[in-house]
Amino acid sequence: MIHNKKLLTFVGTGGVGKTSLSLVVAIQAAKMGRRVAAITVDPSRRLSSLLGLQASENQSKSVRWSSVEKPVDVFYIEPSEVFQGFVQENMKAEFFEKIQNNGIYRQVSQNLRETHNFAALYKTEKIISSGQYDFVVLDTPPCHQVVDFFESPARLQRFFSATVVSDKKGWLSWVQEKGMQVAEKFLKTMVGDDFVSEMDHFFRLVGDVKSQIDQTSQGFISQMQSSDTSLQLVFPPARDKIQDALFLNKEISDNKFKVDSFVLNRAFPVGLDFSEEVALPEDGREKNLYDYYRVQKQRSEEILKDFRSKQVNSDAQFVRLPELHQPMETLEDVLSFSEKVNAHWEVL
Amino acid sequence: MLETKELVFVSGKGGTGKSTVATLLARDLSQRGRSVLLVELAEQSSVQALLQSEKKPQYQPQASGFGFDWCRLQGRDCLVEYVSSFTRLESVTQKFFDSALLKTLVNVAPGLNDLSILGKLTSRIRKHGPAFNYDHIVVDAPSTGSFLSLINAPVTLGKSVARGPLHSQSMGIDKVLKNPECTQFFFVSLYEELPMDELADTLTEFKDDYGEQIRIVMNKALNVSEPAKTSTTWSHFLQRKMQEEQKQGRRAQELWPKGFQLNLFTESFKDFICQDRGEVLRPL
Repeated sequence: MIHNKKLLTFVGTGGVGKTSLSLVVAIQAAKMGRRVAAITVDPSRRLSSLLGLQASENQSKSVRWSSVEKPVDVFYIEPSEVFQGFVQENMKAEFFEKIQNNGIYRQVSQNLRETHNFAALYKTEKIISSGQYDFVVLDTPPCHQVVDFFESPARLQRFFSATVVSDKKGWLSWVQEKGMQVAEKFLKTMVGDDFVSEMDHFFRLVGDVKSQIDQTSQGFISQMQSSDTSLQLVFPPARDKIQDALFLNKEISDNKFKVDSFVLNRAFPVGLDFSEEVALPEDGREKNLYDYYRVQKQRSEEILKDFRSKQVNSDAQFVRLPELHQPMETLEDVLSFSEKVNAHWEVL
Repeated sequence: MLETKELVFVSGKGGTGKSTVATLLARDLSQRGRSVLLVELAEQSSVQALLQSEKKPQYQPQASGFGFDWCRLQGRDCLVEYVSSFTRLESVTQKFFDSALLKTLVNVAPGLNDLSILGKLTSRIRKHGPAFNYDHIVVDAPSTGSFLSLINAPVTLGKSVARGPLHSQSMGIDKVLKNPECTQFFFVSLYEELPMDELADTLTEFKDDYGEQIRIVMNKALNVSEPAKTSTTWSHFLQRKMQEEQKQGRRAQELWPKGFQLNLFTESFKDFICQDRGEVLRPL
């Protein structure tokens, strides 16, 4: 999956191991001599300090291992800074100055999920098109719903298309012209005049960057749909998470993207050999736990079989990874983890 | 069991078992004779899969079959209900909410969705707007990153407008969230390094504003007293697991001694919850 791809993206709900797996793949690609960038939005504090990144700072760092041919350039994205940078780059200077003081803009740039997603894909686009890398790994941002990420370009386009109507006369007069008394009443009594005028102001200013947002979104969508992009869906062996994964896969294909690998991560503890004789007292807690882990290992194969029968893209890979015990204290530990994953990557 | 307040949010790192803990907490409270509503916010219901229920949770609460009621809230539905309760013109309101205008509005004011949900959850306490009438509301909240922006929505939205009804509503909601007599936060973690790292980060973010309202839940405890002494891959695995549990247990005590422990259950959740074994969330 590394050889003929340019962009590799991990998706999945929170806590399934996306960030660690994306580093693993990045290291493996660097070992093959490829020029690699790894992009992450929300690394854990431990991981950032291991890699020498300062959290809350928008930056990149070249990470080297003596036994790995090429370095891995890790990019840590601070979404609101990236978005601010995008707006500054594409907006007339006088507008940019004004928009800084707009309360709605501050909200949009700091708290809007679509903005965060947009920042991640904008940065990814930039890194790919810089031509400095031949392999980019993207760890998708943590979303309320993972599918938000894939829909964010379309949503953002819809969001900014509201500015079309407000170009000259302003947004509020548009509402009045449309004769939306309920809307007016709602806005005045529940939201308040101050808020409405801030919003009106915001719309007038932000119209300036609309076409650039369209362009970036389109670029990212075609990159995601192209054959040199690979999507990896990661999920754990828990009943409700499998439902989530099936749902996510459906949403992904509805949006005309395609999952290449389904990765069942931490399927069972590594190194447990359930064929050996273990004498344990019946009905004890330890016996229960033993049986629990044994069944879990058996079930992981069934889960993947089940998954295979339920989803549509028949040429996809099904991968099972055990839970690997690897302390993460040093950079060398990250490398050992990568080696272990590589050794245990079991295609079923 | 420690005293539980009216409004309880259950959050934590992804994969730690938030939905499991929220559901068990709802069950424990209802067994004490309280009326309880379990609220989900995610698009895909986790509780439905856990309870192996045919029914999907709806906006209107329904009986779960396990002693508590159950529903799923979306910001838009909360907002429609809230506005309808003032205008009393349901059809006109509906038309307005279906319009592109509102979609834009909800998008532009990013906190508005979150605020509408929090407004609905705190309606009874604030005596404002259409309320849920339960002794306890247990919320299966998003994982920590998104949860922080949910809980901060009233403050961020309140700040973006200095006056007006939106401002005062936001402040009122925030007051309830920060009131130790009304609201509690349960953060779920595991006896493992990464979830504990994230718990430490979360506590740093929350403790100044919500200190005494925070409880932690250490989930999937092994609870083995004396392991059998054999030299098998199993006993090596178990010993390593137990050492890790002790280490992270000490860390939990140092970080936040107030909270609960939940043992790893080896049967399916539905089988587990159907057995009557008293309260399963035990004080740490």
